[in-house]
This record gives sequence, C-alpha cells and structure tokens, in this order.
Amino acid sequence: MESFKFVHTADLHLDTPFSGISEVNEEIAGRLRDATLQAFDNIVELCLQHKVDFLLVAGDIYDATDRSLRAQLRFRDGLVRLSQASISTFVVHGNHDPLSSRIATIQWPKEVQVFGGDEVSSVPVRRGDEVIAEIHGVSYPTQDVRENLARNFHRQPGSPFAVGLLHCNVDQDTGHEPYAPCTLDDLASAGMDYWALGHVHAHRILSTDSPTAVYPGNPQGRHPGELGPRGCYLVEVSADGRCLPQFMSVDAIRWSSETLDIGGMEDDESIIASVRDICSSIREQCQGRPAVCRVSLSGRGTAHHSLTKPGFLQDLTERMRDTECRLDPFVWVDRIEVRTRAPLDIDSLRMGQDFVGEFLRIAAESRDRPEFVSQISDEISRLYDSRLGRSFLQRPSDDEIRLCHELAETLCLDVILGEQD
Amino acid sequence: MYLARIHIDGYGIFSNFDLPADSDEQSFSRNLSIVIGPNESGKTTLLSFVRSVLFGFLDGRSSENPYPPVSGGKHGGLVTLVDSRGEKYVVARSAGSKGGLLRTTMPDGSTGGSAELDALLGHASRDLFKNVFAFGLDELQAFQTLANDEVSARIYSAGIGAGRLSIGDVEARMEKMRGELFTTDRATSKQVMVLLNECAGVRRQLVAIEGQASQYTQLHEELRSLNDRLDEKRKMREEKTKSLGHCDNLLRAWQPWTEMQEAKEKLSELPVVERFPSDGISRLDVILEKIRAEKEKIEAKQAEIDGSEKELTEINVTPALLDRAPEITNIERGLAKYVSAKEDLPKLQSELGVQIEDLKRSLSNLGPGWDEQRVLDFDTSISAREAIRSHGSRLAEKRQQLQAAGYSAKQVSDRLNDSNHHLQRLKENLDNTPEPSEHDKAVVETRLRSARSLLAGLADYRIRLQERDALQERSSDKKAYATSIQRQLSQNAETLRLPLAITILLCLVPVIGWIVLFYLRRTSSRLQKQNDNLENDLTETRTELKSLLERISSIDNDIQNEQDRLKAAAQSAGLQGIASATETSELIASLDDELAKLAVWHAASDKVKEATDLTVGLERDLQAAEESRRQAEEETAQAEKDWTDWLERHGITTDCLPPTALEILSNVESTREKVENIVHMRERAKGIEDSMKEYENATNTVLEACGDMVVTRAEFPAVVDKLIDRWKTAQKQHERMERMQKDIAQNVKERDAFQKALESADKDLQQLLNEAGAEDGESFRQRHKIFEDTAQLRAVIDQRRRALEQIAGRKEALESFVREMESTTPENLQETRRLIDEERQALEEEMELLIDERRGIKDQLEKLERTQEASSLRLQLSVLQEKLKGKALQWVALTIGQNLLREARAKYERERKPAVVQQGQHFFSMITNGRYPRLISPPGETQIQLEDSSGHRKTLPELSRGTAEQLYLALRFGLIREFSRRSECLPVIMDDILVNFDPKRASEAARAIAELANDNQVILFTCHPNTADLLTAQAPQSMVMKLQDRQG
Repeated sequence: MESFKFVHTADLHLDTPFSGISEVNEEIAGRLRDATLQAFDNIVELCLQHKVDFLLVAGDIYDATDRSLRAQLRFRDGLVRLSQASISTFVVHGNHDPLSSRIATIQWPKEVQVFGGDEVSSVPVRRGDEVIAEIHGVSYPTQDVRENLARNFHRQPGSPFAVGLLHCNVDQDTGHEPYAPCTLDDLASAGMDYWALGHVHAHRILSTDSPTAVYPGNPQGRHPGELGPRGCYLVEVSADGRCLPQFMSVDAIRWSSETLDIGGMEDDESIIASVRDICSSIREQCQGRPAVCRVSLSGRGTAHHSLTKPGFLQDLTERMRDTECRLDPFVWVDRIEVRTRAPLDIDSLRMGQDFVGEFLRIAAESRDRPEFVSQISDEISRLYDSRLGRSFLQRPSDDEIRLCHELAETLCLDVILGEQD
Repeated sequence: MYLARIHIDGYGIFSNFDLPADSDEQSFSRNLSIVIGPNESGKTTLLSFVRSVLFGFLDGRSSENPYPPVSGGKHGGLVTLVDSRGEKYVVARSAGSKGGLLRTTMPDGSTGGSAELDALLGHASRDLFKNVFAFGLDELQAFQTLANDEVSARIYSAGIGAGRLSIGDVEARMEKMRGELFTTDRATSKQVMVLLNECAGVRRQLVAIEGQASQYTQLHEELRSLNDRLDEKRKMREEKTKSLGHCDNLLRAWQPWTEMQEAKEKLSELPVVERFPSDGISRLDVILEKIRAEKEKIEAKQAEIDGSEKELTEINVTPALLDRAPEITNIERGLAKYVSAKEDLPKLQSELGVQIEDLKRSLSNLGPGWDEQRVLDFDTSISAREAIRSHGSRLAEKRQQLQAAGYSAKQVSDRLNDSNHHLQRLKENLDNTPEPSEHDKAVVETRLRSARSLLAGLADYRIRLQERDALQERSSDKKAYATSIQRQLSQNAETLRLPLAITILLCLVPVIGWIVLFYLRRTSSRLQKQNDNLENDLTETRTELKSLLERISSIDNDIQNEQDRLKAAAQSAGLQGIASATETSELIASLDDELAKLAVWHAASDKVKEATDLTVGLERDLQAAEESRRQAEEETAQAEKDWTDWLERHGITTDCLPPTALEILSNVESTREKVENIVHMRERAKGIEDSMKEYENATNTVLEACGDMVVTRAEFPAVVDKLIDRWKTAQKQHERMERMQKDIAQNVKERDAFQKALESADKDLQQLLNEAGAEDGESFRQRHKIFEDTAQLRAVIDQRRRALEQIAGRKEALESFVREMESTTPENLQETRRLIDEERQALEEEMELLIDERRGIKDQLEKLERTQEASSLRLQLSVLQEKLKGKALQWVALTIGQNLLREARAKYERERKPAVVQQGQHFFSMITNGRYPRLISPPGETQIQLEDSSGHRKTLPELSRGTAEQLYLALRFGLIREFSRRSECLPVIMDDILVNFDPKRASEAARAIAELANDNQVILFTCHPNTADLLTAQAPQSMVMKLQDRQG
C-alpha cells in the first residue's frame, strides 16, 4: 500500500451568522459575515498546499433553515478548485443540511462524490490504477435521523484502507442533539481504519488506533461558547496503514474570553490600560488572525464605582473598539461584562444587624429557595412568554438566573450604599 | 462598650487635644457625660472626629465637612474604648488612603486592624452609627421636609446601615431602572420592546428574500434553453463562414499560381549543370589561401637557419676549466670558511697566551706543589664537600652539647639551694602551729554528725512526750464521762420500775387511773428514749476511749524507740547518756572548733612534706647533669681528632678549619676550569691550521691542471676569486653553443613540415577542380553561377506550390482547387463571395440578440450568487437578539433585586418595628409626660400614628416641629435599645438636640436620656448650661466637663 494524505472537516455551517454578539460596525459585520466562508477557503488552500489525495466533509456544510444560496455556491466553488487540482472530495450531509435541502441545479465537479441517504455506499479512491482507500458513507435524507447508522458500515474484504464518513453523536455527547446515536464500540466493530465524524463542534480524537476516530470540530467558532483555535485534521496514512492526524487551525476569526480582576485598580486609566493589555495579549495568541473578545471584569475594588457610573462602560467599550478595531489584525471587543463589586467587606456587612445585613442574608438564602425561584419565574414570564418574547428570547438558564441573582445583589447594594460618604 | 477618652493629633480646630483633659487622667462616664462648650468651641468637630476615627476620615469627595487640621499637618488621633468586661482597646487612625491608616491595640497589647474594630463595633456601619448613635440636630431636623410615609421609611432607614436614601428611595430607584427596560403593559417605547420589534422587522425581511433559491433554479432552466438555441445558430454561421473562406482562398491563390507558371518557363531555358561540390567557391578560396601561406612560412624558416649557423662559428671556450667543474665548485663553497679561518687564527693564538699566564697565577695562589695535573686529579666532588660539612657540623654540635651540659648542671645546682632554704622556712612554720589532740579528721566529723542528730531528735522527743500527756488527759475525761452515763442509766432504771406498781394500783380507780396512767406512760416513754440515747453515748464514748488508749500505747512505743536512738547518738558523740539540748549545742561548737584547728595543722604538715620531696628530687637531678657534662667533653675531643686525620689524608695543613677547607676546594675547582679551557683552545688552533692547509693544496692542484703557477698563502684568497670568474664565463659560453645548435635542428624540422603541407594543398586544389568538372579556377566559378540559378528557380516553384497547398489542401484538394482556378476568373469569384457574406451577417445579428438575453439571465444569476443581503440580515438579527437577551437579563436581575428588597424590608419591619415602636413609645410617653401614651404602626404599613391620652389619634403632619423632633428622638432611642439588644452597646453621642424642646419637655427628655444612659454610654454636647443642669438633675452622678471657647 502506498502512503497518502487527506483532510477531514465537518460542521462548516457556511454563511451562518455569529451569535452572542451584541454590537458590530459595518466593517466588522462584513468580516463576521464572511468568516465561515473564509474558513472553508482556508481548508481548500490547505488541501492544495499539502497536495492531499482527497477531502472528507462529514456533514452540516450549511444550515438548511437559512436556505443560503451563497453557502452552497461558495462550497461548490471551493470543490471546483480542488477538482481542478485532481483532489477528490467526499461529502455526507448531516442534520443541518439533509439531502432534502439541497439546491438541485448546482452542479458538482466530477471529482466530488456526495453519498446518498438510502444506505451506506462505498467509493474507491485511486492513485493511478491502484486503489489506495475505500470511503464508506451515508447522508441524512432528512433532519431527524435517530437510527444508529454506524452499525450499517462494514469493511469490504481486501480493502487497503477503509474510511467511515458519518455525521453522528458518539456516546451521547450531551452538548449536542442525539442524531444517529452510536457508541465507540459500534465504530470499532465496523472494521474501518479511520472514522471521519461530524456533529460535535469541539475537535477531539475519540480513539487513536483500531480504528482512529476523530471529530474535527467546526472550522470557525460562531459564538462565545466556541472559544479558541478551530480547524480541521490533516491525516497522513503511512504505507503500513497507520494514521497520523494533525490538527490544523483554519478559523478566520477567533473567539476569546478573558477575565480581569479590578482589585488594585485605582483609577479609570488603569482599567483602560488593563483592557488594552488584554487585547494585545489576545492579538498575540491569535497568530495573525482577527478576534472577537469578551472581557469580564470581576473582583472588588474602587474601580467598581467608575464602572457602575451611567455611560462609563459604554464609553470604555466604544473607546476600546475604536482603538483595537483599527489595528491589523483587529480585536473586536464585543462586550465588557461587569461582575465587580464595591470594595466592601460583604461578609462583615452580612453579619450586621442593620437593614443591609438583613438584605444580604435574604439575598444569600433566597438563591435556592423554591418559593422565591418560582415567584421570580412567574414574574419574568410576562416578558419571556409574550408573543414576541417567545419568538426572540429563550427563558434564562439556571446559570443565568444565578448570575442575575448576583447582579441583583450588587445593583441593590450599589443603590443602597451608593451615596454613602 | 463605652468611650473612655479622645485624643486628637490634628482634626479641624483641634491639635494635640485630649478629652477629658490629659491633666485630669479621667475617663468619660460609662453612663452620662455632658460636655459644655460655647458656639464654635468644637462640639460638632468632636462628634465628627469620633465618627472618623471609628469609620475613616472623609476625603474631598464627601459632601460633609472633612475638617482639615487648621494648624496644618494631617488628620490623626485616637479613641480609647472599654468593653463590657472592662477590657481596654485603643483605636488610632492617621492620615492615609482609603479613610486613613487604622491601628487597633487590643487589651493584650497586640495590634489589629479593621477586622478587629469591626467586630468590636458589632459590625455597625458608618451610616448606622451616624444616624442612630452619633447624631446632631441636623440629622433630627432632616425629617421635617418629608411626607408621612417617607418619614416612617426614613426612621427605619436610619437603621438600615445605608446612605442618605431611604428604603423607599432605593425601591423607587430600582423600579425606575426596571421600568426603563420593560413594563408589563408592554409599552413600545421601553428598551426591550424596541428591540423585540426590531427583531420582528428583520425577520420579516428575511422571510421575504428566502425565495432566492427557487428563483436561481428557474433562471438556470432558462439559461440552458438559450444556450441550445445559440448552439444551433452558431453551427449555421460556421457553414457560411466556411464557404466564404473557400472563396477567399481561391482569390488568395491566384497570385502564387501565376508566379509558379513563370518560374517553370525560365528553368527550361538554362544549360544543365547537374553536380557541383557543396561550398565549392569557399573551399576553392580556402585552398588557394593555404598554398600562399605555406610558401611564406618556408621562406621565413630558411632565413632563421642561415643566421644561426653563422653566429655559431664565432663562439670560443677553454675545455680544461669545464672538466674541473666539481673541484672548482668545492673551492668556491670553502672560500668563506677559509677567509674566516685566516682572520680567526692570530686572535686565538694571542688569547691562548693570556690564559696561560692567568693559570700560572692561580696555581701559585693554591700554594707550592700545585701543578696542572694535581689540579685535575684533586677530589672536589660533592661527597668530599659533604664530608667536610659533616665534620664541621659534628664539631659544632659536640661543642654546643658540652656548653649546654655545663649550663644545665649550674641551673639544677641553683634550684637545689633555693629549695633547701624554702624547706627550712616551712619546718619553722609547722613548729609554730599547735598540734591537735586528735589527728584523724573522720573521727571528729563522726562525733559532730552524731551530736547534730542528737540535737534534732531531742525536739521531736519532747513533742512526742507532750502528745502522750495530752492523750492521757483526754482518756481520763472519757473515762469520767462513761462513769457518769452509767450512773444516769442506773437512776433511770429505778424510775422505770415505779410506774409499773402505780399502774397496778390505779387499775382499781379507772378514771383517775387512766389519766395518771397516761401521764406515767408519757414519762416512761421519755425516760426510755433518754436511756436509749445514753446507751448510745456510752457505746460511742467507750469506742473513743479504746481508740485513745491504742494511740497512747503506740506513742509510748515511739518514745521508747526515740530514747534508744538518742542514747546511741550521744554515745557516738562522746557523751555519757542523753544530754540536754544546751550541753549538746556546746559539744557541737567545741567539735566545730576542733575541726577547724585540725584543718590548719594538716595544711602546714602537707606543705613541709611536699618541700622535702622536692629537695630530694633536685639532688638526684644535679648528679645526672654532672654525668652528662663529662660525656659531652669526651665526644668533642673525638670529633676534633677525626677532622685532623681527614686533613692529613688530603694534603692540607691540619690547622685548617672546615669552612677554610671548603674554600680551598672552590679555588681548585675554578683553577681546573682554566686548565680545561687552555687545553680546548690549543686543540681549536691546531684544527684551523690543518683545514687552511688542505684548502690551499686543493686550489693549487686545480691551478696546475689549468696550466697556471702554484701560489703561496699570501696570494689567497685573490687567486681563488679569479679562478672562479674564469670558470663561470667558460660555462656560460658552453651553454649558449648548445642552445643554438638545438634551435637550428628545430628550424630545419619545421621547414620540412611546411614543405609537406604545401604539397598536400596543391593536391586538394586539383581534386576540387575535378569534382566540378572544371579545368581551372575561372571555369570553376562560371559553372557555379549556372548551378545556383537553377536551384533558385526550383525553389520558387516549390514555394508557390506549398502556398497553394496551404490554401487548398494537399493532393486531391489541390488538384480540385487548380481545376477550379482554371475554370473561373477573379471577378466571378468576388461576386460569389459577396452573396455568402450577406447571409452570414444576418445569422450573427440573430445570435447577438440571443447572447444579450443570456447575459441578462447570467447577470441575474451572478447577482443572486453574489448577494449578501440574507447573510447581513441574519447577522443583524443575531446581534439584535443578543442585545435583547442582555437587556432582558438586566430586567430579570432588577426584578430579583426588587423582590429581595421587598422581602428584606418586610422581614426587617416585621421583626424590628414592633420592638422599636414599643421602645419608642416608652420614651415618647416619657418625654411628653404621658400626653401621648401610644404609638401605632400597623404591620405592613409604613405610617405612624400617635394616640393621646384621650384616645384621639394624630398623624405626623399634624405634629408641631418640637413634638415631631421629640418623636424622632424617641424612635431613635427605640432603635438604639433594639440594636443594643441584638448587638454591641455602642456609645451614644448627641449634639445639642434639645434646643427646640420647651422647658418641661426638655426636662422630661433629660429623664429619658438618663434612662437610656443606664444601658448605653451617653455623651451629650451642648452650648446651653441649662441643658447640663437639666441632665445633672436627672442623673446626679453624671460627669460634666467644659470645652474652652476657641473663637479668635
């Protein structure tokens, strides 16, 4: 068997919007809009640069609900480039882009193989006259596939190197919908050498050997929960059939989240300088690519008073954006979250026999009191269960409610003690 | 807890100030202290100072007066606090950031900071302290501008530990912030609703453009149909274009076809030259040039050969010189050495003469009998020197030993004399010391120990005797008591026998009998009871008596033992029986004295013994020293004899000392060096003479061979130089001859080679002419011209044929093409072409229309492919939703905050208000002298009502200013009581709060203050001496102090 190379990607979610961003200017909007497409272009460049033998795409190329023509055309354009360089592409569709959502008139280049949704099919990959690998794959015909598809994969006798291409949830990953659920044992018993998986957005290698099973993650983080480097795997298969998967970051814009303790900050300028330092550090970490960042200010200190002054935070954020956005690569300060507290000894205040002490004690004990939680839930229903609220808002999670509780305590203390001399 | 003292380093008008004054060394009263001071004496400053030391100095941002030190410097000072256990704490604060540098000194002397102070103050905040515990008229009067429920809220807010805002203000502010985000009436102007509506708008736009995908498919279908039609038209146009091209080809071929015909005609007129050598003309020219060049070279070589032969005949050489070349080369090499030797020999001989003279002087210095041979033979080796040094050091050592032995013998002799004198003195001293009767110290010490033991035992012995006497007395008493009890028992037995007789007698007189019988039974019963008691006593007494007798017996035994022990001790001490304490003490003193004398006598005796031992030892040492000196003398004499023998063996005079002998050895060595040097110089002079002679002989041999005369040393080295010059000249001439002969031979060889090349060129010329069929060069050139013309015409014909083939195609096509040309004319062809072109243009116009249509569809497709509108809208919606989420969560937080505040307020009021109102009611009733016995504040309501003694209720706005202030003061006292009940009793400091009270109410308020001061320390500042009088009337033990007027 000859050695060969391929690239494995999944969950491109082309032309889908970034979420979790509360404000953008026109220029940044353009960059964000194109980020998923740019990341895919980077994958194509990677294939060309490393002269790989083929590209594997394990589903969720675009989001069917968006009906984005741009996404499908951009995908086709990339595959055309690969086809011109004689690089084959093997595609399966996932829950976000089932076969039923494809635009029929888009013609794929001849080197592209899209797997059908009826059954697992196999396609040989040739180099000259020699078959170097066999790709087995199946697409989602519709979005909601709950069948264990991995059990339908079987290695062909005499196959030099077998690849399973599947969009699925292995071992019930709780962060993702349980589409095509299967276990690592199911994957192992199919006899594949390499499982090119899709669906889970964090890249990880489930199994390094017999078989090698890999989630490449999504090549572009699209919300603050998808932090850090994103990319695909460049896999080298040696002559004796051993796989060496290497993660390659291709993200066009990187998400970053940093926390800053305000303890010791005496004035406004020190806050500004610290946030600026964070931006510089992020720029350095991102290795030449732009970034969207969230800065969370925490801790206790006199700077809390500045941060809670009306308009201060907005001014600070805009100032940071003005400066950091002009640099190349830019760092877009999406938001600066204030979770700071006044420089008060809360424990001591809580022990006090005055109203503040009473308030703090109630604030602490009410957090987990079912009646209180239920009362709050009823009150906020007026917003979240309204017609528009249901359409555009999700009821806050338990974590968010907990954060709101902390914020409420801080806000009340600020108002109660705000004019303290 | 109470405030004991205040010390101010710097604060407002105060600098290095103490209250109470330092000289008083007093503290504030732990109950009530009144500080009287005129206006501007600093009362309010003091109030502020206490707040600042406990809770931090104010900075410029505060709206309150920060009281900067008037006399310069920085804020600073301390207060002394005493807790309920009487433990003292010192809280000091100096200027610094964040309220100043705090140091809390604990009762054990350790220091702490804010945590310790915070715990000490029961976690009270600055505001709580300011509003409830340390307040002035300002704080009281601040309520007056507020509405009823606000006042109520403010009263409780005084205890919330917060800033100036009341709980109501806080709630209102939170509600305002919440309302700006979202209200339940869903007002569209609220931030959350604005965002929701924007989201809805963007989504509508997105839905509107979602049809792009189906439009794209439809346009693709239209495009495909258009492409099919265009392909059809394109095919038709290609056919017309092909016909047009054919016509054009025929017209283009007309000219080459005509030219080809003309060339064929000219070719037929030329004579035939079928062959001609390729490159014939250039080859001819090359051969002719070569022939000319070879001839020129031959002539040049011949001239060189002739010149060389003539020059060779003119050279002349002497062969004998050349034959002797090796010898002459050696002579030339040895010339420099010979010249040097000829110069060195006379100098060497002169120096040799000087050296011989110097040697003679050295030999005579060594003495008679010394010549060169003896000098060379004399032993000056290292072993000889070592032998001399060994003799020298042995002699020195033996002489030194002899001297040391003499000195040692003298020393010992001196010490022996001293020792004899010292012994004599000690013996005299011993004779003067009294000799004790008993010489053994142990005997005296044993007696002393026994005497001391006897003295100690005598005291115990006496105590034992006394104890026995006391016990014997007690046993006598017990015996007497037992006898008396027995006697009483006997009497009672008699009495008990009488009633029995009387009873029998009375049975006969029933009534009286029963009465008497009753009396007698009672008496009998009492006596029986008494008897029982007595018997019990008797038993106890007897038991005690038995115990006492046992103890007496035991003590008797002890006394007997003690007596035996004391007798033994007395005997050991040398006494006859047990002596008295006085006698024993005297014996102890006498024994102590004897022991001291014995110690002195023993010391003197020991010293005499030590001195005697020393003298005997020294006499032994003196004998040994004398023996050593004799032995040293013998060894010295032997060493001197050995040295004399050595000198004689070496032929040196015997009076010579070892250093002198070493010097002679050195002189012999230097003389030997001179002898050796002279021998060496003689050998060198002989060697030079020999080599010079050998060189002169060799030179004369060569000269003779060359036919010259033999020469003497005087003519050297000039004759050698001449010989060498002649030899070198002959050599050069010989080399030149050889070189010229070689050149001639080479030139002859080259000339012959040129001759051969010339002959070869002539042969090549003839062969070339033969190839062209020419006889000479001229005819060769004419035949070449004909051959060239023929080739040119053939090329033209060939070229035109190719052009025709290119236009028409090869073979069959060309033949048909030629036939077409032969059957038509250029004019006919032009007409046909015009007709075809018109048809083609019509087709192109139709195609252009189709292409335009296709371009339109492609533009639409391209536009659809490029459009980013949907992407932008999706991003916009995402951003709006995120913003919305943030605002919604903010609203949730405010909602939670509102609920927390509401709960906290409800609980605070529920748990605290009744107690506060009750306490407040007590104080208010007191201050108003019972006019308002009740305060009413229903649960859940903020307002407070007053009920007078007639049951009539009033609300706050109905009260006069003074009564309102009294109410606030009473409620504050209620808060203080409530707070103190739950936490630390903090000191209460008030600044002239009674000014608006009428005299009666002021007096009652003073009573209330006095009552409050029972639990909490109260310090009241006032500028009115009357107020102080009112307070001291209510609390006579209160402490009054005055502040100085600090105006001006």
